[in-house]
Amino acid sequence: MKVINIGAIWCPSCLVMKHRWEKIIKELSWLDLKNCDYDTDRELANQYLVEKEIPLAIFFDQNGQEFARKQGEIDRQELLDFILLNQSR
Amino acid sequence: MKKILTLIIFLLIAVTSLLPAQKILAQEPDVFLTIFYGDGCPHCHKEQLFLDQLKKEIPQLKVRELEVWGNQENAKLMSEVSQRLKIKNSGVPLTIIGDEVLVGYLNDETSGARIRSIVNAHLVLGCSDLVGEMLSEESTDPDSCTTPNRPEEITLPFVGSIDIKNWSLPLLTIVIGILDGFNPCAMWVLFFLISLLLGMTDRKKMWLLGGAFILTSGLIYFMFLSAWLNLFLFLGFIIYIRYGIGLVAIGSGIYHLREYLVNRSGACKVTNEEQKTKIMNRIRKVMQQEFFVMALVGIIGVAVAVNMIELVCSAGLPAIYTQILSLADLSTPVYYLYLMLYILFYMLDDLLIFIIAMTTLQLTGISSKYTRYSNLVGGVVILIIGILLIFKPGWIMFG
Repeated sequence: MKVINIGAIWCPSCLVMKHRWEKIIKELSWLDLKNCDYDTDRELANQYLVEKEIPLAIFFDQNGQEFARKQGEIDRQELLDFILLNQSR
Repeated sequence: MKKILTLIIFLLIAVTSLLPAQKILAQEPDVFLTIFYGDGCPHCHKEQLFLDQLKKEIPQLKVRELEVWGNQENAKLMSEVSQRLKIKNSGVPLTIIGDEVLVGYLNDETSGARIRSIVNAHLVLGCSDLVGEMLSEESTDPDSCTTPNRPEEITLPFVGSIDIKNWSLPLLTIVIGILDGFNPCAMWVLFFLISLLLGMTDRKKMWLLGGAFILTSGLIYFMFLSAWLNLFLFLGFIIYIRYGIGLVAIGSGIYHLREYLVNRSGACKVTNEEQKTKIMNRIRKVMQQEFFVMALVGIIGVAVAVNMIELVCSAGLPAIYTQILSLADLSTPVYYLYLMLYILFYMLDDLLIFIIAMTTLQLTGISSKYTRYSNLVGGVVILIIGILLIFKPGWIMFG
């Protein structure tokens, strides 16, 4: 599974989520996580941002197809459960 | 053009914020004060001198002086007024403002301050002139002027009895200050700056540059609040301004409650991209300065510019707060002490983020749940303030 996490250095919730993602990646080393900074990687960010609200995590299956999005501050356990539930995708 | 406009706004704020915070009352309604006095009575003379001074400060104050020791008619009127207002020991001086009665006069600091406070309250409430109506033999209702009858004390479990009069304004200052501090418009710059500071190797310079930014931001906001306060004190108790600010407060309260209900995830909105990029580039440039002094001056300049731009974003809360503060009968230094208390709590989250980042060398965001709680508590408080400003201004007149 691949995840693109879009955030920005000036957004407090993004910093909170970046920290949570760092912890998750330590637990799930097989997860392909790409952090995208809105200001330095705007082209990629704008490709996915529809509502112009961050942090935004976009989930892709093994075929590279997007299957879910999670916006805002999400509880670490909730994210872990969601990833494990969709691990086979 | 934009730069000129910003400069004009800055100059206006700078000038008005430097004016001494003193009340200039120049608008309706009139307040009628009657003093029954005796010729040769030293306390009466002291009060009359005080009233002469007060009349100059408050042009709406109309003073009626009635001598009772040598004038039988006035003595009779004083007796009738005493009966009507159920005054038991009516010596002189006897002062009547609306339905408020003061017997005797100690000094300007105690009795004088009390008179000033009642007059200020009645400027907002608008009161009948009982003695004037009795003189013109018109019927009057002594209850037509209602003075603030908010509870004086509340009892909390474990804490005991709290004097609301003494604690309401500091508490209100803290609540609105914290709510204003969570304003995302100004905070993003600090986050960006810290991210750049963390890339530096010299810890001392990190502290100095970040500290200079925070201190300058606080100073600019203090000037902004002072300007609002002086504007309200200058305009005095104009009823339409109070209604206007009341409506702004209701709108602001609804906005914060809506933020609490709608933005549960704490997502940041991506807005003003062009302006953000400009400011970020400017900060980057400043941080790349070879000489530290240049960087320090640059960062102070950025703090001034950024805070001037972001002022518009939080105009509602400072205006609401300073309107309430202007209604309170306080001395000039106390007004500014309250502004400093506001600034302290306004900057509290910024200071925490900065200190944590500088000591741990990691940039940590404050979870949105705190912003949400602040929106809930602050939203309710601001909404209530808005309603009170329109319907019961006497309840939020402190001091």
